[in-house]
Amino acid sequence: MIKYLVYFKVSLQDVYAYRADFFLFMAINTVFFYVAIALWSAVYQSTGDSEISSYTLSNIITYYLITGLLFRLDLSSSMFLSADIWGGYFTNDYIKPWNIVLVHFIIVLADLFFGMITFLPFFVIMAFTSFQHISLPTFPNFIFFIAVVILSLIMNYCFNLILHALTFHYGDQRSQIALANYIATFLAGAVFPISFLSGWVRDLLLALPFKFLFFTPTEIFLNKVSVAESQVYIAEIAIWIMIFFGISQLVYRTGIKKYSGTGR
Amino acid sequence: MRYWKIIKIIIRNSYTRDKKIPGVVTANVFSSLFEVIITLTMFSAIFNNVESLSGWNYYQVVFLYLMMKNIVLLNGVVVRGGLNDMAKEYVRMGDYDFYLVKPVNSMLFVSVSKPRFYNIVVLMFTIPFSIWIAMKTGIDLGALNILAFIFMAFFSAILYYFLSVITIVPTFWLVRLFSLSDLMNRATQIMRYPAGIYSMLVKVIFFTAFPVLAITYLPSWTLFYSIKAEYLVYMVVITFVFGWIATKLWNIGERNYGSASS
Amino acid sequence: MKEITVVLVAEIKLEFGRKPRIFKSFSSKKMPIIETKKINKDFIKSEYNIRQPFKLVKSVKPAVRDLDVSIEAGELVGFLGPNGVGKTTFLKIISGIIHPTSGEAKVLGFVPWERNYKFLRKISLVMGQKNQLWWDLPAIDSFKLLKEVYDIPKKTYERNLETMMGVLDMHNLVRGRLRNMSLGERMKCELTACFLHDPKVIFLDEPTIGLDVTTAQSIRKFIQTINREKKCTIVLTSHYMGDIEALCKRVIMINNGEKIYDGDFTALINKYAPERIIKVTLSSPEEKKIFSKIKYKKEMIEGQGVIRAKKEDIGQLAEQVFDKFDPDKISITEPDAEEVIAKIYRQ
Repeated sequence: MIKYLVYFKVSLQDVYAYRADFFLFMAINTVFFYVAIALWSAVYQSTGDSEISSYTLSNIITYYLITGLLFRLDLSSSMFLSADIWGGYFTNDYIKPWNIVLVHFIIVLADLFFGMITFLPFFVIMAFTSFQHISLPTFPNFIFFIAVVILSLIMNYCFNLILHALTFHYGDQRSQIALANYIATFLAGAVFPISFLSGWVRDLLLALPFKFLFFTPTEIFLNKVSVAESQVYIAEIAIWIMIFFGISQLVYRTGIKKYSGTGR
Repeated sequence: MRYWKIIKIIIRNSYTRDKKIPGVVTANVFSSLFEVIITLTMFSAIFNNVESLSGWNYYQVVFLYLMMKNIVLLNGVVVRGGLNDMAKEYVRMGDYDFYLVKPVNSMLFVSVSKPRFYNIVVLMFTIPFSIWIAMKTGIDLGALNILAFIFMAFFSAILYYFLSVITIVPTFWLVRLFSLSDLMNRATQIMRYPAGIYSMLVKVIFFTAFPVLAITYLPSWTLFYSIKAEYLVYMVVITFVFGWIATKLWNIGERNYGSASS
Repeated sequence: MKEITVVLVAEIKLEFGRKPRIFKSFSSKKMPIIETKKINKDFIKSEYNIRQPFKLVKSVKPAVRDLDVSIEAGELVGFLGPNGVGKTTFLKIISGIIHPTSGEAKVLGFVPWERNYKFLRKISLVMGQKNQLWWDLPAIDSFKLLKEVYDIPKKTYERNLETMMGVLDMHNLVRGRLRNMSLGERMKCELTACFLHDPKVIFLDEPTIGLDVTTAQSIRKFIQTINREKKCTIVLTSHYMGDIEALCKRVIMINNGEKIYDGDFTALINKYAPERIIKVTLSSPEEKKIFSKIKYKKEMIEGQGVIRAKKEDIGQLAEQVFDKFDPDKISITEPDAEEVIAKIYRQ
């Protein structure tokens, strides 16, 4: 266990080496939030209604604040398993006495942890500059919010593990992984709340597990979800974790037999 | 002439490389097109509740967004890949050394070093779609307006390139700047909406100091409304000004370049 | 050296349309093709220290110090030194990649870091640990790009390409993708790319690093041939003695950014290790006893008797040894160059 903690520390140091880059990245990513405020303020002003699809202006601004924070848990720029497999660097990890899946999860955690820490000052600035619009959750909802976020991170990792492990079978998957994550981000309600859609599209998105990445945690934060419903959601995420983990192990184990370690 | 030959060979090489990786090309094309679909879905959700956004109707707003997309894709075909690699790798790994020892303008050579040919595939959808959307706006588009728009759009594409160069110049000092290669991606979020949704301060900044709003809004305004000489002149002048700034900063950055260990 | 100057006074005709024939002066003293004066390069690193929150702490690492170098046209000079002493940094300064902190340099009459295109057309750079060719494409596609970059006339390009392919035995390689090639094959392609435009000065930074013995030998042979036939100036950095011994008559030794030696390589070895080594294979106790009676400083290493003899003593010692032992068991060699260089750096 200690070796994994040490590896977490080393990964953090690795990320810290380019802290200026990280810091700037976080600063730049606040643009989306302020553009969203400008856009939706103009929309709500034009419509004259106080609610659109049961979302007030405060709700929507809080929505973008929270999804901005949850974007820091986006795995697509933190997970390099596919690149390592394709480039042959996977060999270095494979010959060591440790669990590679766990090791890559630690690398991801280190990256996300540092990202979160670096983003927090900007999150505070964003919250401070829009405080009149921010709605706060109840205490139980806040606890469920944290729980759903943690579980959805694990679920997302298992899902991405499937995609990355496909590299063993089909070669370089980086673009396909980027596309899949991009689509998942939309399906998760990151661009706008799923509630703004209607009909079968909304029903389909609500049935898929990706809603747990952005939409569901944010709805919990906005007190739009009761405690009972939150408990159901947690059970649902647990099932999806088991499904994705099972598939990823299958793809990974069959794939490792094909690994040839070529590359640079 | 020589640069034209060099760019031709690089684009041809890019095509040769890309056709060997159809999976990557397809994924990137679908990513781009999917982004268009998502954004149009969002606009539909907005315009289900409003008639106009700062005086611009649905089709005008979609056209503005598509204009941003086309400018970004055009840059993506030729220069975006090289500049991204400059921000992420070339200085950090010392690969920029090879660009410095060639008898060509290093800024241009780096910029065109990694064209993304598949962006042309996406442009084959977005440009006709933009034309169709422009016709659907219900506004009578005069021939002079169209010509003025094309003239300004040409300068818009070049201005976008120069702003991209400026955003990655700090790489010479800070070695790795993936974040700054993302700055222009963030800027596209500002460019895609009518300028009227922003406060006066924001408009002043993004029309002058970092003129991303000028890239899409001024040409589109010229197409849909009237031709203003000051807009035409302004587009040309800021393009030259930012071109000069980009070149100057690049040369200063080169003097600071320390290469990397071999 | 006395300068012998022969001045031919030519008739100056200033007729319309005819260029005047100019004074010509011939001098046996050549102008150096590379000349540097007191080149210094410091790398400055700024760090944030939480104890001094409003100030960036700067640390200065000198990489090159007061380096004066003069290289004539056609020379093949080796820069020798362990890792991190400033060889590659100096190479990057004289090729124009980085600016020095202070000092002057002229290469082919140009200041390198001004990056005049006429200068860049006459130089070439190969780095052993990096590729300049496109990774995912056949080498020939990269060569075609370089043809346009350097404005190489078609006939010159085809001639040079054919020559390189012949000398380096690359006819089957050029159409393959770089990513599928071995390190040796990639280096051959890099060297080909380097010579396509007939450069006058070539900078080679550890060109044989990581290569197997056979490939390294063929690369060295190629470099020697090119230097001899094209009379180009080659500046080579390496920490492999094999490269230096095989290629360079002249070496410049660098340590901590400073020049510690500049001159003939053989003279360097003779200066620091003027002895010769006599080795005798001793396979029986009697032979060991005979060897122990030789009146000279000696040692026994793994069944071999070893005598390090000064040059003036070699004659009489060799006579003694050949008298007492079978010639098949005797070898007389020069000291290992690698050991000599290591000894110099330890001092």
